[in-house]
Amino acid sequence: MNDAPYLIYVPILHTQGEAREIIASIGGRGAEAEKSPAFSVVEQEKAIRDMWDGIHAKIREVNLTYTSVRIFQDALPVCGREERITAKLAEKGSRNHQLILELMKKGARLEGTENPDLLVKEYNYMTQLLEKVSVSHQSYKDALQEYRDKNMKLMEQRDAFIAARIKNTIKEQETPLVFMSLCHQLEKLLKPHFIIDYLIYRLPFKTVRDIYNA
Amino acid sequence: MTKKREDRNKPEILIIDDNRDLLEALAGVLGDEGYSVITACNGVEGIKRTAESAPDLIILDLKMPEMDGIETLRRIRKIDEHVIVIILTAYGSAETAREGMDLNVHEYVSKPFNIEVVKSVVKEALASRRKAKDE
Repeated sequence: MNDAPYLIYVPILHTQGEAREIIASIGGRGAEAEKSPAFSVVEQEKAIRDMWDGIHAKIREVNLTYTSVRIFQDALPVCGREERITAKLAEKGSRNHQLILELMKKGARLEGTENPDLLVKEYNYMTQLLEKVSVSHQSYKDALQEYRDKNMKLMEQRDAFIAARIKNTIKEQETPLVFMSLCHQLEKLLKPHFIIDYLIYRLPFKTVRDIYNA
Repeated sequence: MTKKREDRNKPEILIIDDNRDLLEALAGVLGDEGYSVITACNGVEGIKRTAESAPDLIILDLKMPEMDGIETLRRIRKIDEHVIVIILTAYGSAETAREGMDLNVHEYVSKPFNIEVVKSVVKEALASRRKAKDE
């Protein structure tokens, strides 16, 4: 196992606004969806921005050979428009995608990571959930439980696709750099093939709990 | 469930870490910031201190001998399900982060940390708790 290649795994969190923009970028109506009223958008965005500032600095400290880095990104579909999607999200202010562009300028390559059909399916589940926000707190709570149950199975499918994608596209001497939100559980699928090196700066759970652990 | 002492003048912070140098340094810095700081150098002592003192905030290391941070936190949650917990760790993984999230951790900060980040996380966490109480 010591001969296995290294993989750098960066667990990340997104604000709900970013999550909607990401879904919208692959053709969903994410950006139009209702906002959950249960959290402070300003606090969330500040905490997430601070987290990304730290990740930017930590990645610079690692001194990667960028031409050997292949980037895999949460919610980035395999679609032939990966760079365009990333540039658009970076332009809208996503620090995550701005970092990817910065790394690409230094020579890193970006790889489509997710199955687009599964992403659209997740978007539909999320839309059904958000529609319940305006009905009543109880209907939102019931819908949230239903969403979690359906989403758990879907996440397993997404993770299996992502792990296979990383394993099958990575070339000899390359280092996968994986930006993956905490709701993914890729480790058990990646560990047989890679030595995982985690890169964490800070994870501001409290301010984004409504998205991940409401 | 513990009850916070309402007559406390300063917020009380419990730091649980087996690295005594770090424990003392962090206690010094946070003490200078005006907090009342108590320390514990292992999980068992940390649980005891939580039960005795009902701190407002706990800073917890994950990697400790005998009882690790996640197990310590599980037991702390049985005593006080609402106390603010910040994890400081050099051995972070997505798995432990997820466990921390399930155990209602406020923030997860990796070592080596910037002391200014820790000071600001502590300050913001206590402020958000006060704000929630006022509302």
